[in-house]
Amino acid sequence: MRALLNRFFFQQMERGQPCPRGSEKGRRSKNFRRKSYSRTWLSALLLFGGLLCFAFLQVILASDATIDSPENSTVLEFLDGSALHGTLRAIDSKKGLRWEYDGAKQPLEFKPENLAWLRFPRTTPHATNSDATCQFQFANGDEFFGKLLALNESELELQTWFGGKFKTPRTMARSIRFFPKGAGTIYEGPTGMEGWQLGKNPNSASSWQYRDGAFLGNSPGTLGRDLNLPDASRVEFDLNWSAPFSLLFSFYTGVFDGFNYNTSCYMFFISPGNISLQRINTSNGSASLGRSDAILPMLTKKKAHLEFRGSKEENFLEVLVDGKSVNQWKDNAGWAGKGSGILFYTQSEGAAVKISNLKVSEWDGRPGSQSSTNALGGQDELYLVNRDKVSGKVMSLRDGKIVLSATAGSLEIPLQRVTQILFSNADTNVLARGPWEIQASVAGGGTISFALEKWDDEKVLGRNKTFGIVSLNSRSIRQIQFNPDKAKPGETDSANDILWEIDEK
Amino acid sequence: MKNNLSRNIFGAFCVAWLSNSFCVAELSAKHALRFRNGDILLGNLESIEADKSVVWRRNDLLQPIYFSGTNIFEIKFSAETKSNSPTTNACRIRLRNGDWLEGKLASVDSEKIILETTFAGKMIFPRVAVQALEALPAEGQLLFSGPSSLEGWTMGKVTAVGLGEAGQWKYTNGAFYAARSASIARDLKLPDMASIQFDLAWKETLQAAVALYTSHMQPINLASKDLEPDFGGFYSLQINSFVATLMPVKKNAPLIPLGQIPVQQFSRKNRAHIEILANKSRASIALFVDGAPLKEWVDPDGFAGTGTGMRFVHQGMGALKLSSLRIAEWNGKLPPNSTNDFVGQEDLARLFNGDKVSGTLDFFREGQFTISTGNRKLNIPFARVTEINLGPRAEEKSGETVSSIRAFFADGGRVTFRLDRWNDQGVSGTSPNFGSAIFAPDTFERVEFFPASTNKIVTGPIRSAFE
Repeated sequence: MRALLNRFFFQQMERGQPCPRGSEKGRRSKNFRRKSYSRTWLSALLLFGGLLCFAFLQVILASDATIDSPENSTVLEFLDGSALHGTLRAIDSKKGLRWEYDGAKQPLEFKPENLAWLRFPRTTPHATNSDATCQFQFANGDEFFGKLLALNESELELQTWFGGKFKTPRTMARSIRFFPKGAGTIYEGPTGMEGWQLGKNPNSASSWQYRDGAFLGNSPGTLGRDLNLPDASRVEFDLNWSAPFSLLFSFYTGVFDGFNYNTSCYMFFISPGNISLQRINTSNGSASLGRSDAILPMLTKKKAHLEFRGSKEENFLEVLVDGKSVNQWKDNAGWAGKGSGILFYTQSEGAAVKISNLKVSEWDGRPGSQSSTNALGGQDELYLVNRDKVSGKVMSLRDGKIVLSATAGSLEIPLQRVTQILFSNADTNVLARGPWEIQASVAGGGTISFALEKWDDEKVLGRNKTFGIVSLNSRSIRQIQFNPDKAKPGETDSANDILWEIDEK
Repeated sequence: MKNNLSRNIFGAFCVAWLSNSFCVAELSAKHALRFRNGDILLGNLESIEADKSVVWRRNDLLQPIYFSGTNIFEIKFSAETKSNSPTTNACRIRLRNGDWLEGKLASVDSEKIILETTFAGKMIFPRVAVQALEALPAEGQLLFSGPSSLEGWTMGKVTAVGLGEAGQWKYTNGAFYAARSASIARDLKLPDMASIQFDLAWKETLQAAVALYTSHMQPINLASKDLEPDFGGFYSLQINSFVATLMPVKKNAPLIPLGQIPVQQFSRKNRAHIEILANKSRASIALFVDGAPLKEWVDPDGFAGTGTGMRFVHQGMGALKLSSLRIAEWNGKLPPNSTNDFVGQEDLARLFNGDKVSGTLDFFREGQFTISTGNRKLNIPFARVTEINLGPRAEEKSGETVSSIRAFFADGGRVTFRLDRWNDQGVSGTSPNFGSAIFAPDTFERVEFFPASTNKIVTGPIRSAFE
């Protein structure tokens, strides 16, 4: 601080070079100097005060920093169930993962064999994917959003926000799904309770908590947020539960601090095995729109990926579980949702639910699964907005048109008319996994696998068969899965795998 | 009887750790380090220094880690339950700071009390530090200790309606686990007077039944018991999250419970140490939970059990762990109640026949207590005494002020002291309560870093509910 002050004063002195005595310029200069000196002192005082405040804040921040708050720090999880909150310093495939842990006298350096997850509480928010007009799916299971730059018979080139441009052989691509209106991410988290409202009921104040990138509902209570949902949107999240539960999800609601029927919205009632929908209209009351058939994956597991979709224009709602559509509803009475937010209401006492990987995004209104298989029959397949399908060989992308060699001859189809391309002959060979083979989940949605070579504050370097060298912005990564082929704690449903509560009430 | 108070706090976290099927075998982690923020790191403790810094090893760490003790809440060990009780003059010594230890009472005089222990040799306690001496029934011959595998056990088929989809008990690392309704049974050769001890840990709902003195290895559907194959008579101890109920079960006889007792521990916690003391000749069965006597049931119709086996039935709700099952002969003497409420100024001896003797405990020598009461001196054999509460002394002082850790014995009891060093050679420490001592490290199941009322940790619901 003293050096800063010295430098500041020194610079001020340099600026105040004296003018020749007696000159007009000198007189003006004298006045100027007087004003200048007084300004200088004032500035110095202000700066000094500012620096004092800064130093004070630093002390506060430093003292806060020593408290290793699990809510806001990165968590490293291990296959044996260990978990440490701390700071990732670096990863080097030769030296190991270097971890700074509060209370450890030196950084910890782990070998990869027992690593499970690395979860970052705060990644660079990707406010919108409006540039990303495509969702790419690859033969190795990777999928992410980006922009298609070029396509020919042998390779395709794409642009991502997190890793720049990628080129890949055509044989590694499984499909491209087009989002002419964009696939903007509206919200991705959770990253904390900020922006969310707990129920007004005093009992529900502690019903939801945030920890390690997830909301946990332990007792009856609500949690809501206005997300400014567009007219067509998707809300997806991972749901885990510890026991049979009852969770209510209000979609397009205008009430965020409690459960009531005084807002027109759609209410999904979720329990293991089925999901039902109620239409809530403040004028006409509530009406059941029906329920899904038994959802077997939810009956046999204690986790599921749920996705809720709604389109105001089409009066249409859909629910997907683990990527598969379990029900669709057409509201013939017209769109009921008057709000633009969501609300969770856990209704069970004694059953905990966990909501993680919550993502809210624009929806293109196309129902059904978004995951694709290879095109069958040895030919590429193009799906068009009018629901036609054309088969042939995709030759290139030229002047905004897909050039397709079909039996009927060469076709040029404007990109705006294409909803999806399924490629034939995608290479399905799975690479042998090395110890540093990881799967990175990026902000904005998507995963990319590669053999990690180096990770520092700025960049992640690796290599995979699809893209060759992978260089990503390390702050764009939400979580890393190590040892992707090994079962992780909590992913199975046996009594042995449950880490039981130690709390003594 | 082994009053396993430490089991109250034996973290169920270890349940998962010890049983964790995800454990990478080659890591062979034996210990668990738990931090105040809720973090957990499995591995192996190398040493704890006087400043409480911990040296920790893991096979996936390139080098050992040195942790400062300030952030550490506790370390758990995979210590196996061992009996600390000697065969004669077995005594539990309760200190005024809440610690308690078991051993053989060697002597008492006006200044000190000497206890011979299996874990630290002879320990000398200033008399002012001691609150009570409790005589322990000499532990009879240990007949069974386990489980150590599924071998010898009969897996039953649960078919009762309402118990949900049937599952099976699984064995992992010294414990049986069941997440669905399941039955496991064995002829454990229960003696006529038996001490039956086991640990239960559960997640969500506790709902289990323990069949005592059964000859039948398959579960019996009580609702239709008369339609079941002949199963002889047995006692069914039904345990759920709120109550324990004992009922004799005989074919073609009405089901009439002997009584029900609320068990607060079951609703407040998710683990408990259960002890059952059965006496065939008295037709009695006594239940203790976490060392506290809850109920002694006496069957007016005589002892119903016709076999010598036991059956453990998970009744379909929640997940259940059963471990540390010990069957031993019992001498028929019920242990004393807790002495925590004693507020007298004199020493008070409670005898087996219910008599109380108030006065001054002068000494214990050659197996006899000598108590001055008025002008008389009474010599009372150790075997006749259930407990002696020691009146307060003027120079009482707390032994906790300089302590740095509190260690819990695997078989019950705890001791608080200032640690000098902990490694695989021994645990050395000092305390105003016993001076210096060197403990065998494998005698402890858990060590808590500086015991204080603020020793709270974050137990996030993620960990508790999902991981």
